[in-house]
Amino acid sequence: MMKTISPWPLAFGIALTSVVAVVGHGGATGVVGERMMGMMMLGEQVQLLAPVASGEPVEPKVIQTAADMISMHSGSAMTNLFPEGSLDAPTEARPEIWARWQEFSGLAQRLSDLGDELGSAAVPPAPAAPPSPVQALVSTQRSEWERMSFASLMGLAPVRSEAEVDPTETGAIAGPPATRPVAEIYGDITRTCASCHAAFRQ
Amino acid sequence: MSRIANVMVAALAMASVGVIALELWPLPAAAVLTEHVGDAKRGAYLARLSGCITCHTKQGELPLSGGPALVSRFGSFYAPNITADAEAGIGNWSFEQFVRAVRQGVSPEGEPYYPAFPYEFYAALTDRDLADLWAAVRESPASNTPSRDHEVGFPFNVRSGLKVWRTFFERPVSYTPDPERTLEWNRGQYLVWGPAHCAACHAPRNALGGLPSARTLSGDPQMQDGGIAPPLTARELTARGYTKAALVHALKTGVTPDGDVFGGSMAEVVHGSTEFLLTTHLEDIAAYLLDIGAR
Repeated sequence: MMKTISPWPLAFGIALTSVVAVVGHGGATGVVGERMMGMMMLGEQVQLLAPVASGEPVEPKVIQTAADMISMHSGSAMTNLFPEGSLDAPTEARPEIWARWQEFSGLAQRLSDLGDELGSAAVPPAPAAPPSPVQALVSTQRSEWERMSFASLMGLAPVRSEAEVDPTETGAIAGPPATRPVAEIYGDITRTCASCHAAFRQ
Repeated sequence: MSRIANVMVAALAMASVGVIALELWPLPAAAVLTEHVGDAKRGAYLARLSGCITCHTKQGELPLSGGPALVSRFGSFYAPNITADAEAGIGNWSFEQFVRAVRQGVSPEGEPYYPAFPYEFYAALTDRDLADLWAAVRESPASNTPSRDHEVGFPFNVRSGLKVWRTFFERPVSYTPDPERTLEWNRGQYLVWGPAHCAACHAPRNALGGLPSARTLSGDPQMQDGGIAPPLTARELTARGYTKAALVHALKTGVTPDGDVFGGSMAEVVHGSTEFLLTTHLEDIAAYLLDIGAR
């Protein structure tokens, strides 16, 4: 005898998932709910990547996944969720988005580019030659204060963390590094988010 | 003489007395300073910590060459050019004039500064701090960009009226270490209430922009720029998911415990100031804030 499957559990599951999603975004539905979900996904990736800011190791697989998610939810994927005038509650978007659309879409695209760059940097290239013991010793002995300079503090020169010091300057490797360090890209990602929030979020 | 004429003469006389009184209203005299040889790098660090570079610099321009509008309910204030340029900046000032301006809020011409310049907090800076800041100013490139006038309406555009304001609302911060507390806690107290001037935004100001008489970081639901500054007490911070490590991380990166990223004026504070600070100083700040009201 053929067993019939009741559609009710599936329907109940879908309904429950929708309710949870809507409640989770302050009751937001439609395009506002969709973009709030996207922002939440971005926030989760930023949280997962947080240890890199303090120099702690993060699995390349985690970085790669976060990079993919950032790329997926930024650029045109993000700006498409901001049709003009979509300011239904509980949105936190400000109408300046459409008055300064070029700036807004520029920041969304910058985030997308940084996501791509993060993906490329997820697996660090093997060094051509290990640093000499003397170099390693000097490197670990440079304190946070020593890495700062008058020019970097005043904004007259870029700030460089220990990880950002070009190994060619120290003679550790022969050629320039192919990619920027993950911590530096992460810093640019959070700065891009901050610029956008400062200008376009209530 | 008609009655109207009498009233007009009386009003004119009162106005004249008022103007003379405001002109003669005393301002604090310059303090006697101890000798220090300034360290420009330490001064640059203090300029980051104190927000000098954040407020006095427009994006893409030379540091300290003049800032963007600081919007308030009284009007827009523009932090002036404080580079070493002799004409447009403060290159002609003496060190004593610089100290009086920063710590006492009085210009070399004897005019009071608006409290948009948080000199009440900088009152806690030491002579050595000021010598270092002065060295940083002197060593930075000079800019001839002219300072922009504030856009403030009547009666707030009457500078001398600030003397009356100061009499009633000025709250200069003094730093007294607590011997019962750790070095970390005391440093945190100094940083929070002195150079970092957290209470400039995170304490409720009255209708005339005055700070509360008691030291509090209970937040400001109606900031001058229309924003909301949340409380920074241990209870509130803990409820928002902040631990010491999370607070250090937020001040270093602008990322909150739930993965959100600061916007508004706090984004400017992080990316213009706190992200440049030593981890140990961020830990001091976090240790102090997470203790407020905890006992």
